[in-house]
Amino acid sequence: MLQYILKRILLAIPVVILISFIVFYIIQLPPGDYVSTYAAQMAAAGDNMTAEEMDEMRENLGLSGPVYEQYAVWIKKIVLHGDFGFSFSYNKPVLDVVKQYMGLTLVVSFVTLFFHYIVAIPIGIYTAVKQYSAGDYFFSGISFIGMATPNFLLAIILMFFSYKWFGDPLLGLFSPEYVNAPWSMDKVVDLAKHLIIPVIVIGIAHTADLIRVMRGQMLDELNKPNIVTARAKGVSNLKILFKYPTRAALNPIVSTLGWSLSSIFTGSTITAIVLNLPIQGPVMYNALLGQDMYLAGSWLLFMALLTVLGTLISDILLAWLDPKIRTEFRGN
Amino acid sequence: MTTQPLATEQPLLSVRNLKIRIQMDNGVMNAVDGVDFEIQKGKTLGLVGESGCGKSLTSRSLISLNPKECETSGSIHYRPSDSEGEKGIDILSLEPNGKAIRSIRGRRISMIFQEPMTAFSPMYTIGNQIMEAIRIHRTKDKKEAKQIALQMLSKVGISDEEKRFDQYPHEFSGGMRQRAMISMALSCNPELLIADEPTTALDVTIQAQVLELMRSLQQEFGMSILLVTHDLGIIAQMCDEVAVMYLGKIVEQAPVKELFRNPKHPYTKGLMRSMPRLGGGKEKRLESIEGSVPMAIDMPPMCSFYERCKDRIEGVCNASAVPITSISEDHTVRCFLYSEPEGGESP
Repeated sequence: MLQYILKRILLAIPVVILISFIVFYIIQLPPGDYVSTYAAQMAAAGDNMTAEEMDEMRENLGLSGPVYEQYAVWIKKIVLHGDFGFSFSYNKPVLDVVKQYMGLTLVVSFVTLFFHYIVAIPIGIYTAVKQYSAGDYFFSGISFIGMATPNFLLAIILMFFSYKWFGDPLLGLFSPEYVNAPWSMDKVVDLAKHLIIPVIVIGIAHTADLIRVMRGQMLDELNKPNIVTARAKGVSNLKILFKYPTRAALNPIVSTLGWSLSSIFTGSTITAIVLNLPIQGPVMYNALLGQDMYLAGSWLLFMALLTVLGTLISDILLAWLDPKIRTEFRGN
Repeated sequence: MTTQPLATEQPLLSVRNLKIRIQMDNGVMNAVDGVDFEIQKGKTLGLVGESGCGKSLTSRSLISLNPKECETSGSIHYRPSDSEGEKGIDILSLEPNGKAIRSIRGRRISMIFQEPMTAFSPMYTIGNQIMEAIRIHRTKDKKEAKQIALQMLSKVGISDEEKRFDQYPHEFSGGMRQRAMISMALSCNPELLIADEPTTALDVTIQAQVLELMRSLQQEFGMSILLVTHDLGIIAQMCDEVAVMYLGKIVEQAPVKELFRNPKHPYTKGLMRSMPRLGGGKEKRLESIEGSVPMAIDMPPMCSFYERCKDRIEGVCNASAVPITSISEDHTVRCFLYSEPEGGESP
């Protein structure tokens, strides 16, 4: 098992390197660079930059060489000094920007992930066991609506109701008085309150999706002969339900954990903009718009790393859950 | 053994007028349509028939295992041997998944299935799954349950049982899995073992071993067996009594030797002719029964085998429902060819 985990980690390294290169390449693909964006901004403000000034600025920022050279410099700095480069638009090292947003991004993502498993798995089980019942139709209807509703629309609707009923649209992740306050119990409570809307909005589509997957899996498993065997032994239905089909139906859910994580990262961007959340989505979006390439590249690299890690975790969980896969390890 | 069942001894289980109806999109299917049989203590009854004739539904209804779409009526009367003189239990009157039926399942009547790979869950060890029944019915104590399970495993001829106990179904071969299945079914000393095509998924040599094992365990435990199969060869080897089923009805019922020596129903005869036999001559081709089993939906009152029957009498066989005729004391057949000379009950 340990050997397998080590092997998987080693295999992940070339994947991450490849991703980093592709990411870097794509980010600088659009015409122009940070300097031209900056010059355009200056021009809009009435201050024209000369071609020499722009070249000089490129030289200073290390943007003059060809792509592979820029990439090599960037990666070398990361590996040797842990220096991810400089964010032009924030005017500070990329790592500082990352630090500022990563914590809350992870909080929002994991709470969302947790929420969607907690909600979807029981509902999936329920709708499968009570197939074609009123409850099944109700939850299926809700989940189809959930899948079909654009996140940002739902965000706006929830904000409206929150404002109407509680007098507070719950924008952002903190009330103004807590934004810069040190961490305290009150701040955590405030954060939890503000998390409700984002978590529902970001999580709803996945939750709806997962309910369908879980329901389908359960229906498959409920028709397996091993259920009849267990019944023929005199085991009660409730015990059978949790011991056999539920356990088996969890496999595909667990194996997609890695993807869920990355889709929560990427899927939350628009919602985060609408809800004014201080998480990675808007940061990434602005970095791409402004061609703040080191920031964008580093963020994407972190996300790729987290996704690879998520996949690894889900594989390990799967091995723990599925004896067949476990046997393959032992065989190795 | 073709000795007649002792008239004084009560059968372990008697099924009367069992009907299973299933609501389909295009009508009601009479999957099982008025089946009667008895299972004697310590004996083996064979239930033979083609796929779809209702034999599996019949066998599963004995412990209420059918899904709720199956509307079951009639009576299934079970007399536990330890309730001397008592009336016994009508299985169909019990709540479908209630405590009462669950205390019978696996404990007094247990079941083995056709496909031991899918009948075991791939998620748990063989030991875990065998112990499950033992811990429900025999002992709450984990250690004791494990001891019983290990004993059972070695009893069914699984060597190295300590190691096997902790293995998963996919680490077993097909024959071993079926042995494990048998050990699981017998772990609580049931009075009746229902074997639903127990050897169909196994190759022939393993088949013989498993049947031999079932027979020796039957002698050791003194249980009755209901053997559901489509294979007359297995019936001949294993059974005391045979019921031939066609399209939800029992068309012929007799002790095994009588049935093989003196088959009456055209369907039974057809089955016999389609069976390979030693010394049957090389150049003779095996016969098959023409046609296929119709769906038992909205069947008019007539012989269900009519369309495929070589000896059918037009105007008789397709005019009314066929009554049961006694050929001898323990040989009955459901066919008009034999009902006339007897005078018999009129339809």
